[in-house]
Amino acid sequence: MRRVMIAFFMLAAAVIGICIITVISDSKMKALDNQITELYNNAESYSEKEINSEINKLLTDWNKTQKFLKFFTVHEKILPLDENIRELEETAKSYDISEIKKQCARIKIILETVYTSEKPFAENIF
Amino acid sequence: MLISLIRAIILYAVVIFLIRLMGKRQIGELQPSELVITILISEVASLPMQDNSIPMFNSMIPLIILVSFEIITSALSLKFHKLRNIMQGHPVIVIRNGLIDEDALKKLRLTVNDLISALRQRDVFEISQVSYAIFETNGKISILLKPVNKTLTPEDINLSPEDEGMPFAVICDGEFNKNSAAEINTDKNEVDRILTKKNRNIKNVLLMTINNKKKITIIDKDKKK
Repeated sequence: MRRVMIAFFMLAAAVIGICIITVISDSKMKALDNQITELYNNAESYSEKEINSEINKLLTDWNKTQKFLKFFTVHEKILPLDENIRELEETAKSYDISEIKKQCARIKIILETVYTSEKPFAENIF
Repeated sequence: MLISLIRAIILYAVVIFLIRLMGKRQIGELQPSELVITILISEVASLPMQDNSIPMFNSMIPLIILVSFEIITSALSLKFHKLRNIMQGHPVIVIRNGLIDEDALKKLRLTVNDLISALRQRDVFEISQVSYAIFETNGKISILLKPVNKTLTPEDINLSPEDEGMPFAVICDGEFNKNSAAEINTDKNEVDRILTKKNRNIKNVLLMTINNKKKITIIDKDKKK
């Protein structure tokens, strides 16, 4: 009976843990997505200083998010996202608005891919 | 490499804990579902050991869920006969009153050679000596020999040998075993008294057994070592 109780407890802990981790990583991914969207929408109205400031903030938040995600996501999934965000930093130095927007669009697509690949949809399960 | 080492140690501890939690018997006695779980555990646990890009949680969560389900379904199998049949199957009689049940063999997808081989492994070389043979759910065969072929027992020749009881190992490899001592209502002081009487030191004793009739057997450690 004791083993059964421990099994139930472990199962409950695993399920609750998974739910909490999913909620946290979803919120972090959504926050990142919002930052990218805001940068994309307002890139034309930002000055060079403002763009660099926004991108530095994005990078700081991304480093924290990445540390968290690496505990629970296969590293190969996060790698393209990391590469493209670093590229965005490089692109921002040239202050080429169209390139910055293109890079933001690329990051949004990769974010969407990583986000949906973690969801329990039939195509992901099978 | 250090990461692989640390992961291997952590996963080893986790797998040992989970296997102990399942309370498993030896490999040869596992039911089909238990065998599947044991194999799955080893496969899932090995993934993050081989590939550092796979997070350890991706392995630990499935391990916990697999073991939890195994424990819960085995507990439910105790209560629900139908579930037990689904998970474990049921024993099949393949020899009945000395006659081979061919339909039973077909259902088990066994040949007569398989049956004879299984009987030989149980030291039965003549099928005509077998009254009943049953293939158990864990793949082992249980045999009931005909009365004329059974090994003679003291009861058959009207003898009543004394019951010497079960010997319990109170000292193993120089260490006192409290649980074994409790089985025969003795304690460390009593054991120390016995050893002192026999001019022995507990550290030099490899094995000491005492049975219910207080018969003592002591085997000393090899002095060369």
